[in-house]
Amino acid sequence: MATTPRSGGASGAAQRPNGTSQNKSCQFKLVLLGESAVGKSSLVLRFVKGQFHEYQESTIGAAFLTQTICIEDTVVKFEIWDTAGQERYHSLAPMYYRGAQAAIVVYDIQNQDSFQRAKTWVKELHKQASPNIVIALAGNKADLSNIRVVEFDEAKQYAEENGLLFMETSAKTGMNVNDIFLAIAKKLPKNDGANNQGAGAGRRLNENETNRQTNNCCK
Amino acid sequence: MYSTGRAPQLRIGTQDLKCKRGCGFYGNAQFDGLCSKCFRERNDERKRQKASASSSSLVLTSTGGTMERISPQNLLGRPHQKNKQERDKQQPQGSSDVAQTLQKKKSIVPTVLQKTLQVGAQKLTPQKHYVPDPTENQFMLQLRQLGIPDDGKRKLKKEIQRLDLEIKRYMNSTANSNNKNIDELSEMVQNAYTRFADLVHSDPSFQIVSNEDRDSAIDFFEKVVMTQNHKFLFSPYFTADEENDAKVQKRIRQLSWITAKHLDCSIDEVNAESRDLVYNAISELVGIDSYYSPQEKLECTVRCCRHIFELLKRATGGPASADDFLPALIFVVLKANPVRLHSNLNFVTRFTNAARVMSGEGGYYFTNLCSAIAFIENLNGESLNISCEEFDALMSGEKPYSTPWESALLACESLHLISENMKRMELLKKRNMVITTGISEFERELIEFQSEVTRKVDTVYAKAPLTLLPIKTPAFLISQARAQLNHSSDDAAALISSGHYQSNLLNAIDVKDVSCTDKAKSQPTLLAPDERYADAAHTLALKDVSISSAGHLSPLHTTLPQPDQLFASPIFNYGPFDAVSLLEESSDNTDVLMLGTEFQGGLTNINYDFDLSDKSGENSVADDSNVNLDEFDPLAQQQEQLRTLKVEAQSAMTSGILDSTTDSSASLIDSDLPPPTGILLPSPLKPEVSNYRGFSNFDIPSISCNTGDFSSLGQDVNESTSSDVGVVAKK
Repeated sequence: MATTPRSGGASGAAQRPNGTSQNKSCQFKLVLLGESAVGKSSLVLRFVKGQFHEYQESTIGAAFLTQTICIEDTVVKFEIWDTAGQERYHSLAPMYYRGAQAAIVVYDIQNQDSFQRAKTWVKELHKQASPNIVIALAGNKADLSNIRVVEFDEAKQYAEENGLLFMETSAKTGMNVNDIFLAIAKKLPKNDGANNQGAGAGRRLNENETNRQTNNCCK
Repeated sequence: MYSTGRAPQLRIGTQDLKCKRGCGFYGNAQFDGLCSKCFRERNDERKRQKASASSSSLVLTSTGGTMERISPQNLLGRPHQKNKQERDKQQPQGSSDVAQTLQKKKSIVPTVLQKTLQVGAQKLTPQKHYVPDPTENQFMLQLRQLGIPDDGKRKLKKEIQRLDLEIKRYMNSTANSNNKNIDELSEMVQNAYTRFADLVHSDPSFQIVSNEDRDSAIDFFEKVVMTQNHKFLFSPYFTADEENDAKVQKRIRQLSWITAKHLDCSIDEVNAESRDLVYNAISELVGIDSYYSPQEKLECTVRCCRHIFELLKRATGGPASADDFLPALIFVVLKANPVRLHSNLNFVTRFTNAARVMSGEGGYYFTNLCSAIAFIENLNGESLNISCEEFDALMSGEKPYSTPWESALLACESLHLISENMKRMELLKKRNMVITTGISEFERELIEFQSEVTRKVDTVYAKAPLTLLPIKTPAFLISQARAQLNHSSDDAAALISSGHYQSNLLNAIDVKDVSCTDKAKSQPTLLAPDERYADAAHTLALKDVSISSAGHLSPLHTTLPQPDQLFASPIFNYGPFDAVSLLEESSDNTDVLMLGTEFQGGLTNINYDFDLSDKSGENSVADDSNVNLDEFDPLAQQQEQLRTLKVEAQSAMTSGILDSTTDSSASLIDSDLPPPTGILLPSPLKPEVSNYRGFSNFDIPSISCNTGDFSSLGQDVNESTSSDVGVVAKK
């Protein structure tokens, strides 16, 4: 049995015969991408401080946050990594989304440029991130839809073409904030063992990965 | 870069200075951190060991207690000195926090317990005679505290030893010394981690253990192995880590001009409070290098980042997002310029559980740190929103810079200087104000004075016509004066002289005070001589009187022959009467002087004149002039008398009566002083000179002037002397 429970720090061994936890439990790394000032961190703060706070870590910053939610009988712990949206830090992004199982690409519906940047992010994720990454597109600041620039249909169509989850959200009103995270959680594979393995060894080369697994099996 | 006076937190504390054996005395670095007594005891012990041990253990004593970093090359040269290696690895602990806590713990542990621990340690290390160091002791304690069964602990120890041996074998193997690969080593360690994790989760001896204890067992495994093998795995010789360290360090040094503004970072560099928080973050960042296990390095990174968040929270007023955080972290890295940055990052990346850097808070912050380094390494002008030229200039040091960070440190001095200068400027400003107001005041006064003067002059002008009126009045007064003068010429002359002076004075200055009656009084006295001497030429005399009374306003002036005025030296400018006197001066010189001496008895005057005569004595020229003057004018007889009167008045003035005269009158008087010489100027010469000059206007003006002057001068002197001589003779 291939295992890397070390990555599932919270409760990594639900599948163990003598495991203490009843529910399945898994941890996902989620990366936030998008231009600066589109409301990435507000979105996350809304999600983390919203109705789902089963527990809440002391929030000294909005750059790294965790939130645990329950879907059916599975405890899903989101580990949310914020990234700097400024253009000059764009090239650093791969370091962040390496090994991530999910990504939310955020744009501002009042800002056409941010939507174009979002498209660039999506393209880049498809090319460089792990192939089974779940990507969601979030058109933020939906509460200001009366002065929108990016049409809903346009974004919706783009999302469908690229196989993305899509929602227009509002961190201000809370609209669709939890929904988008729930949608991601549902879409993520719950066979946590393999999933976590992928997370843990994401940076390893594939051949190394297999080597290690064979070693494990031999043991 | 981190050049402030604030002491970094990770320096040697008092605890570290104490003897490592915990005897309470201070230790000495030369004694391996022991006190002198313990050092001697240990040396004795070692001597005993040496006697029994193999030659390899001889090296033990040669190892210094300092924190020297054994280079892998050296180790390769002596590959089998395991004992030495194990000793070496614990030496650097002296400066770290770990060692500090160890010291504390050790002092708590009774010696008896230490002995039993030593037994345990011997189990762990093959060398029977090895004395365990504090780190080992701590690990033993931790091992005991682990919530896993003894079976598990034994397995844990076995795994630790196995990995330890594996690493050492790989490092020391001479076979593949040329193609050692850090990735291979990393793989080996990572596989060992995975294997151990499997073991923990699958082995029956761990079955009853909770997940938390399993995790701590895994952590313990990693920590022990990494701490023991830090010196091999940290920046190994076959990697380029050291070069990269130097490169990054140099680059950061070059980038010292970068400010928070360049990075769009909200850190207020000048604020003292935020600077304090930046210092905290910097201390933690610098401290990363002092930890041995990757976990501790990661924890340190997290602490550093938390300080930054704290800082940003105050700056932005809310939880900071990555948009704010990353620039701030880059700023802190730039200002801290931590040592062996690359080596540390690589060490953690290679030899910690892969998941640790891929997830969790530590992983996130570590990723940020890696990003910051990557950003710094690939930094260019574009990424700082400045032009490439400016960037290059700043990098090469061509363009001077001053960052708020550095200048804040110098602010005290500069601020002091500024305030000092401000004070000075204030003072100067005040003085300047005083000067300006003074000037305006003075200006105002000047204007006032001018208007006053003009007003006075106007009044004088207004009164001036009145002075002409007396022409009609004399009839009554002249008769009076004539009567007086008839009594005695001497008395009258005295009166006249004083009157003349008075009238001059009054007219020039105290115009206001001069009443008509005064004028009336003065007029007759002045007129008196005219009446006395010239009945026939009455009108002319009156004219002269009017001139003298009016002062310098001379209607007669225009009537005078022009050549005189042109030729005239200063002497002729003073008054019309002088000019007039010139016409006939010398003809009656003797008479004039006689008169003067008669009523004045001016000994001083005579003496003064006498002195002059002594210096030059020629009379011949004077005679010539006399002849000329005689033939000159028929009016001489009358005017002569006037002249004499005036000369008398002048002589009276010169004799010191007029000390208190005012400016205007003084000028008059001064002008009158020279006349003795001026008056005596020979008239016949004038036409000649003027003609001569006229001819020589263009050719030789200087010579002509000189000769003319000389001649006139000589004549003057001669004249005066002759007159003086005459006076003396009369006397």
